[in-house]
Amino acid sequence: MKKNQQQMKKKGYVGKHAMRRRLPVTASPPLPGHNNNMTDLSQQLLLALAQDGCLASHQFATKIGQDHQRIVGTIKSLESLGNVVDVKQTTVKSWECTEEGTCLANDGSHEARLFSSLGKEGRLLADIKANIPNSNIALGAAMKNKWVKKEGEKVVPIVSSITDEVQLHLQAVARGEAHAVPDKVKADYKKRKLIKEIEKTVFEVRKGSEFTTSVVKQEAEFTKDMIESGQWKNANFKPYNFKSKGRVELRSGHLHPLMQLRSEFRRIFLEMGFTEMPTNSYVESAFWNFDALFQPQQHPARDAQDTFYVSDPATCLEVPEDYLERVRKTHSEGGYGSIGYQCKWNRAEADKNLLRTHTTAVSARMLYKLAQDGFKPAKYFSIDRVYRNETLDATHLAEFYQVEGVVADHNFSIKNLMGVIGSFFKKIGMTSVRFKPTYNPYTEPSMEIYSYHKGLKKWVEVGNSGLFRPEMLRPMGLPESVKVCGYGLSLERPAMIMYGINSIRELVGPRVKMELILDNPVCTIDKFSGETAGDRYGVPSVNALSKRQELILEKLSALQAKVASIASKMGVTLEGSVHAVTTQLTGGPQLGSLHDVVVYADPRRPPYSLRALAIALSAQFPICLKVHCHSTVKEISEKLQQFWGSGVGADRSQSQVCITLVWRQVGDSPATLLPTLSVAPLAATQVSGEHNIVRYLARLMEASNGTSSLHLYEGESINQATSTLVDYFLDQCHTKLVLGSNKERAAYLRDMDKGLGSGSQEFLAGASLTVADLLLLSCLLQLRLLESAPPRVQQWSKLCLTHQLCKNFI
Amino acid sequence: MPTVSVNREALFKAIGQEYNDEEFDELCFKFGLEIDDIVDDPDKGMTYKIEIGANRYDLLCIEGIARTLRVFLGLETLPKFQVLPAKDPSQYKLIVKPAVAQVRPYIVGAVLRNIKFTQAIYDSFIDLQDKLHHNIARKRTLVAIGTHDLDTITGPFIYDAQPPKEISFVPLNQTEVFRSDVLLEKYTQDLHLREFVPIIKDKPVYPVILDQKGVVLSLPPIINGNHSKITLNTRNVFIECTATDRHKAQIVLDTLICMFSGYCDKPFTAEAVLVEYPDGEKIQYPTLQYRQQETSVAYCNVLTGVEENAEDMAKLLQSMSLSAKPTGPDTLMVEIPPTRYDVLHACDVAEDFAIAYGYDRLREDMQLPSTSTIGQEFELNYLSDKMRLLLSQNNYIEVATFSLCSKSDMGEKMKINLDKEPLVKIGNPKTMDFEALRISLLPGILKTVAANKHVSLPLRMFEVADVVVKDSCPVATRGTGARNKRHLCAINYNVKAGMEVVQGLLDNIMVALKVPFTEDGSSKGYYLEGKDYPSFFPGFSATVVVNGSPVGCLGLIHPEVVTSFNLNNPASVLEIDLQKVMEITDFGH
Repeated sequence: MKKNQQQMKKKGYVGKHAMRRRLPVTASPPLPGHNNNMTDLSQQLLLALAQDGCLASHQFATKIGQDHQRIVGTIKSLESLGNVVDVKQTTVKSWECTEEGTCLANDGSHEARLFSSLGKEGRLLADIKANIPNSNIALGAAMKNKWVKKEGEKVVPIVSSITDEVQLHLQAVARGEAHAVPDKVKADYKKRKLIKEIEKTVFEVRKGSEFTTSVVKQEAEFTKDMIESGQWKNANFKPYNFKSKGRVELRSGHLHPLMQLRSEFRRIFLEMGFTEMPTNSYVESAFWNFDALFQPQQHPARDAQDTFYVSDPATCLEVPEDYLERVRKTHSEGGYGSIGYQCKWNRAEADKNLLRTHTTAVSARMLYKLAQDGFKPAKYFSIDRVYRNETLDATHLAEFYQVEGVVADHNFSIKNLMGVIGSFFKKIGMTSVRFKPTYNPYTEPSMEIYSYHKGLKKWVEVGNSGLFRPEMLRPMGLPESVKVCGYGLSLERPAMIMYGINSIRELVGPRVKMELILDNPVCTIDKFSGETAGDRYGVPSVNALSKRQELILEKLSALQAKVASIASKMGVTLEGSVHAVTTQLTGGPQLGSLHDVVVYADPRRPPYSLRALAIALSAQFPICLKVHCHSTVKEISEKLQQFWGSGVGADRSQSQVCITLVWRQVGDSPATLLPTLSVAPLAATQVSGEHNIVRYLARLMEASNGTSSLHLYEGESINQATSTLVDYFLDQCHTKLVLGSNKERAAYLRDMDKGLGSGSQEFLAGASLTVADLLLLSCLLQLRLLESAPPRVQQWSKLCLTHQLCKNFI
Repeated sequence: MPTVSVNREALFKAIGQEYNDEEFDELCFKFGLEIDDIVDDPDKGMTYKIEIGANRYDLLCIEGIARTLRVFLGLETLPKFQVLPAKDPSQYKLIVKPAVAQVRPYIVGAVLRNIKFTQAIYDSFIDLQDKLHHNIARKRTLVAIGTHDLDTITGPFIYDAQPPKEISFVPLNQTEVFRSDVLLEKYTQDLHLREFVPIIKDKPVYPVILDQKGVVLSLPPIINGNHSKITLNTRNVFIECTATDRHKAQIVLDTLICMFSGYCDKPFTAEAVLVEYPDGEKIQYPTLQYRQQETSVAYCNVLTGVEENAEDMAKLLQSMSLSAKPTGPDTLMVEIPPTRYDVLHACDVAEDFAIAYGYDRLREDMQLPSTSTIGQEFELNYLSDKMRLLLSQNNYIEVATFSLCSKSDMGEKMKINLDKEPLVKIGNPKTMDFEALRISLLPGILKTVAANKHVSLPLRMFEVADVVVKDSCPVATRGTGARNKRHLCAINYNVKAGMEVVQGLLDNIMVALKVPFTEDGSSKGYYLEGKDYPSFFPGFSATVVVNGSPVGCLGLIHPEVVTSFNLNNPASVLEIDLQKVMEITDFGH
């Protein structure tokens, strides 16, 4: 237990904070002696500093005869006061006696000791060798120093007295005066392992900008007393250490991660208008759990191997008998258009009590009730426990939570089921789902739900779904037109993925460790990714777009075939009109005939993009540009009068295309502010909105046989994906910016800013300028939003304005 | 769902197309099969383990999978299966004796004429029987298949039931004669056959199939005789299926014929066998029944959410092995072949149409239904969530324990005599942990405390969840005889008892529920009434009374209970029936 608590301390539940803040120098309650001593030391140090202006910790320690470590402590505490002292940390090398050296410093060198042991007569060599420690070193050194000599068997002194230099040297080193010993000698002593060189961390202290010799007491805590006494006004507070972690006084309460996830799912269902089913009934009869769902009595899921059967109370008390009879008949003989299972249906089997294997048992009861009460479209959900008598492993338990949604409505289709499931999964951050045909006894069609897992880079199964069989619904009394879809998933599996848990027992059950509950972040699900899904700007992927396009084309060709078949039945030839449409779309201006285009625009919304397109067009063929003013416009500025710029365009008679801009003002609603374009003023067809005008003119230019390689929209140098993207931008710009509210506009610009930031390309749809850029720029100018636009949009606009087509844009 | 192992090379050869694993996986995905695993089997080579829908008996062998996928890909159409008259009608008969009615009343049969086996075909033939036995035949309880070399036996055949001691024969792959009761005793030790032994073991008579000369063909549903054993050289196969479910016997027989008649000299044909029941009923098998299912085009379109015309719909159904003819602008006559016994209703046809149309295509155009409803929480869950929040705000940690519990955790360890409790018991628990449904949240919480002894004290935990009790009231139990009760349980586990701490929690809960404290035990409000409970220390437990009704208890856990859960600190506990509290107070209103 004790050990465990120690571990907890390390893990940071309790205790770690006690050590967190250093005790302040003087504000802590004085410990007798020690702290006063500390105060004295800092006082002493400050006084020394006042005198000398600078000191080194080790020297100061030596000087006042204190332990160096204590001086360091004092310096540190002074440093923490702020700018009282400036401290610089350095290392110094110094010499120190080894153990042997210390011994020699105290007792004298070996040779000196030998000398003194000789007396006047000297001693026998053998005696010396036997009794004097380190006799060889001692003899060698003594003879070298010419203190002694050998006389036969004896060693006798030569001099009467000696000076033991070695001892003196070592004593000097011990005193910290190693500099007094010649370097050569030190090297020799080092070799003899009498002294060693050490590195020491020392501190150089200088006066700080707020240097004072009288240190003010620092407060570590702000207290009630200070407020009441007003002391806080004069108090000097120890600076707060923002770098350490905080302290939790009392362990707070927490909700279990799995239950938090349940709440999230629950909320999503409620957001989607689902009603919660009363699923507080773990014991269910086999009738409601299986038979009501048209699950055959021989189905393997009904085996004791897979289902927990209740031994007490072993059978149910009652079942609606008339309904049971309809169920029996449907199973054994068929009905409602079904041939049934064509085998005996056993009542006793249906009466057995069991632990429900799915919450669909409750759904069945709800649907039955719905039929009895008179059908009304309904959405139900539940998140509750279900049971399987399965073999247990790391991901399977005997009981788990099933998340289930049910929608009942007239003529509900597979597409609707996919729509419900798609939007549900989008809400939990799974934006792409796929469906695989599968088999469930009580649904037909049945679909497994797959979601693309970005980490695994593959589709993984996330749930199961289907439309309930008529054999299940009709006996309940639901009308034939009513279809009911159901879908389900487990709660534990997403939770395990979310919290990175491999064994389910770490998530639920009595063996769960509190760390799981206490240390995990609050449960959130990625509800918002759906809104920014896809690529940049929320653009659907090229893949999705091309699929959508295929679908539209398919519909179109089907429509065309239908029209053709109707026409042939009616005896009408369509060729002429079909031809007319195609030439209108693809044919460029014909040589010799003048292509007349009239654009009506409100002077409050000048379609600046036309200027750039006019330049582009004039590169292809001679064009004539005109400006008129309608009577609805009272006043028009000089700039708008000269919309096309001066000296631009050719004479009408020599031109192939003539663009006439007519300023007019018909109202203030967004629709009337839109420019319109008419091809040949007499024709009824009108192109409305700057985005469509831009399209028209770009096509006109690209459809020409001109040699210029300038392509802005659908031309050869622009691939299909890009032009689809351009289309997308044009439409977005029109709906969100031109027609949008201020809020939508702001959101749109933020999105654009984000999008422009994420790609490497320069323009909206890639490395080259397209009509999308022209339109956006024009709209921003019209709406005077450019100045306030986000930075990357501004950057982009500057780039656009340097383009040759945009030289007279403004 | 059953899984079928097929050799990759053989499968692609049979389909007539080459795929890489991803491509084949994609094909399976679209059709609704699932590749569970890809194994490099040292004996069989690269093998796909393919998961099959439990109702598709026609996909339980490589023959069926390959043919179905070929049809799906438009490479062929489903062949027409045909019953030919018996070559020798007097011989190809199964005469049913009255005695079988008490053990295994039904039998069906057919002959595959001039079949050519190879090792692979033979193996697949045996494998399919195995798969059918395990799935639709529910481990031979419903149907048992016997296949015989027709040239070794002489019809008409007798299907009889005889006392075990009177049946003796040489069983398959044996050399000596066994008496059937001895044989069954022997098979109780057989790894493969022992699971089938109980089907007939204790019956007074055992079913047996004999030929004219008294040769035992088989002892269904256990084992065939060795005499009529089929080999690689067998050319004419006599198939019999005995059953307790007539319809399923027909399905099993038709499935075997449809899968393997393709290897006969006259492909896709089988010769008839006449079954004569004692009551004079005579039925010819195999039926190879083609059923006509009238299907509305509009129904399929509405269900799928598309607008296809009858011709296109028929074309798509063709790729799902269903041949369909438009019989009107809105009706299709769909012919259900004998391989598709899974089709019960027009909705099955509609699903096949939707699969052929493509779920991916439908997904591209998925639509939210126009169903407009207003969401509504379940009141009990609403209250529970409020309580959970309140308890966590009171610094209690939520735990999630199991609703299944062992009797010893609930009884013995809690010092409770379970005989007096309304316990819901499980009949077939695999381990002791699943013996019964809990009647209290406390054991689970105590176990959680025990698993968290490393956490510094005090440990405060709670759970709001359901317990289950037996109840004879049909209304309250929705007709089942057992009902859930939503409980709230909180524990304070500390070095000191601290009963007043959980009592303070109770006070907070009651404040939240707008229930005042009452000292004099009046009918409005809550109070504690001292009472000894077996799990609590005598003198330190009380009943929580709200508005005059007992709703739970509060107290100090009995030291013996503490130690039995391997704990060593005092624990005080509050457990109340939240559902009851909700009923007798006006919370939320």
